Amino acid sequence: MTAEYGKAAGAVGGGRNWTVGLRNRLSTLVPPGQLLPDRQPVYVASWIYVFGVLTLSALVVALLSGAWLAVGGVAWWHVSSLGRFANSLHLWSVELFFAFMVIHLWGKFWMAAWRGKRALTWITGVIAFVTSIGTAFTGYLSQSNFDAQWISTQAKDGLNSIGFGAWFNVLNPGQMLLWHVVLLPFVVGVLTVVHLLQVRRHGVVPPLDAEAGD
Amino acid sequence: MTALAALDAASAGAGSYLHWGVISISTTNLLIILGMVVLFVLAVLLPFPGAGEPSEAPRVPEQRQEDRP
Repeated sequence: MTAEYGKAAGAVGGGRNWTVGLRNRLSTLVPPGQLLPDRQPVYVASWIYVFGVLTLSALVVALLSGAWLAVGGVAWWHVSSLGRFANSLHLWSVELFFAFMVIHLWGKFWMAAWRGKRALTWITGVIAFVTSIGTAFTGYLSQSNFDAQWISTQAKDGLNSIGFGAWFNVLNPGQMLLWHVVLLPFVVGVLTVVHLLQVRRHGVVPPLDAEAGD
Repeated sequence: MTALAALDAASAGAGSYLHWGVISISTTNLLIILGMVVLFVLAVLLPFPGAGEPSEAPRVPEQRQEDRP
């Protein structure tokens, strides 16, 4: 039965196509059982290894509170106590997100976490960090208040001086809002998934003084 | 005079800043950065609950994954 099905599938798809290639690629992304492992090496039992998942948790709260704010619109938090709560949740989750991410970065930097062919893990983390800063800055521009106006005029001078001001116009609140709620969160989300897959693929980096049997 | 008084009030509410040559930082931001440094040091030094106990955790799984690009 299976052989007959295989013949039929081969007759239609030829055995090699994008679907088969993608399936094979996805099936080898991480070693079997490592996508959500329930055990880790003993050296992971350290507080410094906690800041990665704390960063991820804060990002989830930031995304959910941001989606909540999007339901009410940009002016909602100015006129509603519930909206103000959602705005505060969004602000403080982002504050914690950056604090945790920077401590995670310090830990991984002094651990030389790019060892053991983990360069792509490091690089995706760095790009995610820089993209997150851009996401936060466009968030400042989307507050719909005088603070946002002041920041946008200061940023405009800077971006004009390096030639970006014509197509990335910080004085255009609609463009900044869409970058903040669609484009940049999408990039941060994709980078986060790739970063996590790299961690699962290569395992958590051991400390510099770890022995092979630790 | 009223405008000047308003400016004084606004600057008084802007918080305090510390200056070292070309470096200027608000006291609040400096305290937050120092707090993060303290948190980092504590995370490195403080023992994790359960650390050091016998474990059946896998032996350095990276060894079988090092060959992956």
